[in-house]
Amino acid sequence: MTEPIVQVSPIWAILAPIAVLLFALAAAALNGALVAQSAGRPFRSGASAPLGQVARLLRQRRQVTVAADVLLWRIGAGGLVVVTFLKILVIPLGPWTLADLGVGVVWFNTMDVMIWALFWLIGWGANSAHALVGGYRFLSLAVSYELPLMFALIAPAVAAQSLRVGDVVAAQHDLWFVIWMPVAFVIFCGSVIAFSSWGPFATGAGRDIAGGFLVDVSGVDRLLILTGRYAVLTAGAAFAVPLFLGGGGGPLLPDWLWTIVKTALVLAAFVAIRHRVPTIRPDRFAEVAWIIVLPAALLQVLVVALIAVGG
Amino acid sequence: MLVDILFWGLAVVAVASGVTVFVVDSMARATYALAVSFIAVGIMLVMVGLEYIGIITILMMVMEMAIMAVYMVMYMGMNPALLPMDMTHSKRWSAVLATGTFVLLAAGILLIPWPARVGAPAVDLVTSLGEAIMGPKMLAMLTISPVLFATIIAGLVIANPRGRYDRWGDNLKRGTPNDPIRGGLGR
Amino acid sequence: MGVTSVLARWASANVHVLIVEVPGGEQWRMLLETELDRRGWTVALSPADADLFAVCGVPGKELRAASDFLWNQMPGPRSRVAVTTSLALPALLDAAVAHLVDDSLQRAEARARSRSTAAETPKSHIQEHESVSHEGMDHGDMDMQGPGGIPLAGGGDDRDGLEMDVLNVPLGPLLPHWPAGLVVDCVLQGDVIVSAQARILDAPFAPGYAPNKESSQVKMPDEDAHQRTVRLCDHASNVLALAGWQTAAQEARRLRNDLLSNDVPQEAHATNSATAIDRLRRRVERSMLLRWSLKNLSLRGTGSGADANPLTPNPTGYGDVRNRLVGWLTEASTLTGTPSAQQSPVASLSDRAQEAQRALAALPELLVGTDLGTARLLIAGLGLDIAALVQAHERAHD
Repeated sequence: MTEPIVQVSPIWAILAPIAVLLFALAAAALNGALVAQSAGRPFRSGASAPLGQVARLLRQRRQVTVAADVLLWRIGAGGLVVVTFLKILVIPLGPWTLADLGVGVVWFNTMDVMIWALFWLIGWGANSAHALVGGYRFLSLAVSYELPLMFALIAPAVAAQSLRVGDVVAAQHDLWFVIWMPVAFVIFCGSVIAFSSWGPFATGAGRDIAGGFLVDVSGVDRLLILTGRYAVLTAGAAFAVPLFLGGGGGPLLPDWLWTIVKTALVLAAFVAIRHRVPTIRPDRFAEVAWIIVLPAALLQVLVVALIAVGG
Repeated sequence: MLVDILFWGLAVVAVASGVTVFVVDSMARATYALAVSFIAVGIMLVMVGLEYIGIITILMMVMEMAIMAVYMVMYMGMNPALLPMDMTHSKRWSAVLATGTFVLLAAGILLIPWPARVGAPAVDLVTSLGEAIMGPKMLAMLTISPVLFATIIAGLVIANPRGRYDRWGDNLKRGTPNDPIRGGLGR
Repeated sequence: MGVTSVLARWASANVHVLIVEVPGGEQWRMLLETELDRRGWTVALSPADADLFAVCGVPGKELRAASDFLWNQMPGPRSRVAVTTSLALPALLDAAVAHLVDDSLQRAEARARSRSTAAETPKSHIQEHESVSHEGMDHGDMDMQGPGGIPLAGGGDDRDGLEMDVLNVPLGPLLPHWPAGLVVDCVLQGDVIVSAQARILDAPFAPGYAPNKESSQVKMPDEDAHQRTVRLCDHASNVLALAGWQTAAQEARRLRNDLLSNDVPQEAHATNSATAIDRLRRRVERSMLLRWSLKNLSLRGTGSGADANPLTPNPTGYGDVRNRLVGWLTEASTLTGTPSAQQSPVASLSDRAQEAQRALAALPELLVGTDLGTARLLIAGLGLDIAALVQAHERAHD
């Protein structure tokens, strides 16, 4: 039985970014380990790769390009981590949350729309052809996933008849939402991977455009962007827990521990998907998103609304 | 007290970034200065108590600015560069019009005897606001938005220079459509 | 100081290497990549991503100018190696790492670099232009200098009839998963290629395709089965990486590295390799997502569009990219599976050169109307053997 969500004092806001960054580091370690394994090297050497990358990027100087729009470039690079910290304000850890907003679900969606602006600014700021192509590829992907994401976020809100994250968690005390709205869950997970520019949806940073928006970024900026990607992926995985996986509910362990365990499992799944699935091309994905995925999301919301109104 | 300072600070930010839109030399910067202005207005709406509307304003406006970047490059040619550019036209008339409107609105706000509040604010501000504005005409409101959406789509379809017959052949019998770049489903 | 040296040590665990391959130097490039994979280092995607700059082979004038340009673009700390021999490669890389980790040395180099770039700033040129002021211009002039002294792009009608900026972007000579020495000068509108021209940068001597030995050995103009298998795995790895399937590309690369290190394989090795390649082929064939991504990426020289006229002649003789990929893997598996035929010639130099010439000639028309990502996949799908072309050219002029 989950406890009702309660807002804690703002002093604990210091811990939240640290927790997210630790999770992000763990995700990066898992990714490194999987890469090492597929290259035939031992697991452990890959797991320590993120620390090496952090050290390497801290030593590296910034890349300077001709007539770069430096202000927008830096805003884009630093913004990802800031957006993550704003996102996690509404994500509860067990019964505790930093901001018990009445519109928590919409807040989450707003913050991930900021990411549209940020990836485009990163691509624009470098004044480089490949970087700009990368930024626009992300935008074209974003246009495709955004409407399905919005409907997938509405489904739990309709079932809980509230936009407050605490109410959504409370409405799952009988049955987790992932069981009777699986389409919404799958769309949500896909959208989280997409707005983190990760795995199958990483065309913005693809190898066929020499790294896309990462082509001319080095040093601290690169570190912030790469950390930001993992951090946003973590925030998305963490939000799937109260929204679809019953929050802190579960036997034996306390709520906050269950939240952490579930977040870790979802995050591990997200990281692993990158290694199983090739990258999807946004120009081909657009038709699929508008013709198949969006109607599926609408049908899902219709079913949920019928059950919520009738049952 | 803190709330007042925050409110006035946000107001200044909103107006200043609005002015910045016309002052900067780059379309990219103008776009995001506009986004900053809208974000400030959104936060002010949240402070007034309209949480949902404020946050939705921020969401919609940032998304619009990102989409505007696409159109900006499509239509504006060299202006996205950091070149001196002048975005104002008919300077004299627009200054007159803008000042006149501002004076009219300010006079209205300051001189009209607004009624005093009777009773307490409703528990759910957004619902009560919605019902007050749209209450008796809710059915019309519900049908208007899909009609508007359909009009936009219809306008785009009509404006598209390539129609069905270009894509599917004269008998509409071609196997796959004749597109410059193939879509994901081949439809 | 403690912290900086610890950082430097951690940073040297995974060095990012930017590889420039000279046509004819693919042997050394593959050996370098094998060594990088063994150490857990990464191949960098761009100068900004790199710490170490490696040139494989001895470049000609143009390629040397291009690689110097790239070297200047790399942010510090950085180090440079030239890979012209297969011996002592680990020692070479270790020395480069020592150079990278040496903070005082890197700082001195960074200071020298700042001084030299400050001396040759282009700001003086911009001032001259601005003195010829444009009074009363509120919409700018077509030959007005843009920011940084770069002229503005001109406009042109794109395929939908809208006026869009026209950008001249040369692709190559250095891009990840790109044929060595190739430069494709594209005219881009947005990310769609409107026209393209291909050329090869010079290489005064191509050291020959000597398998695992010094270039002083007798040159082997005809490619034997082993070399062909290695090359096919390399091409397959490139296509898979560009299609976005990093894991499969890594697997193909690992198979290539294994093949490269056993150039005279025993029976057991051969069967293992053959089964592994076959497994990869089946995985690639089964993948629905890859099939969907690569659908209708035709290598027939009919240009863009899914509406390929079957009556137009097919200059390259290839099908589409996915079939090429699967074909390469099948052929590699078959060739590896017969160890007795390993040293026998499979393709003569002139055949390979002619095939590469045909593909190069068909390239510009193939790229028209495609976007950048598709163009990269098409070029990788052609499997250009530039080394053969250059070598045949050399031989003809000997």
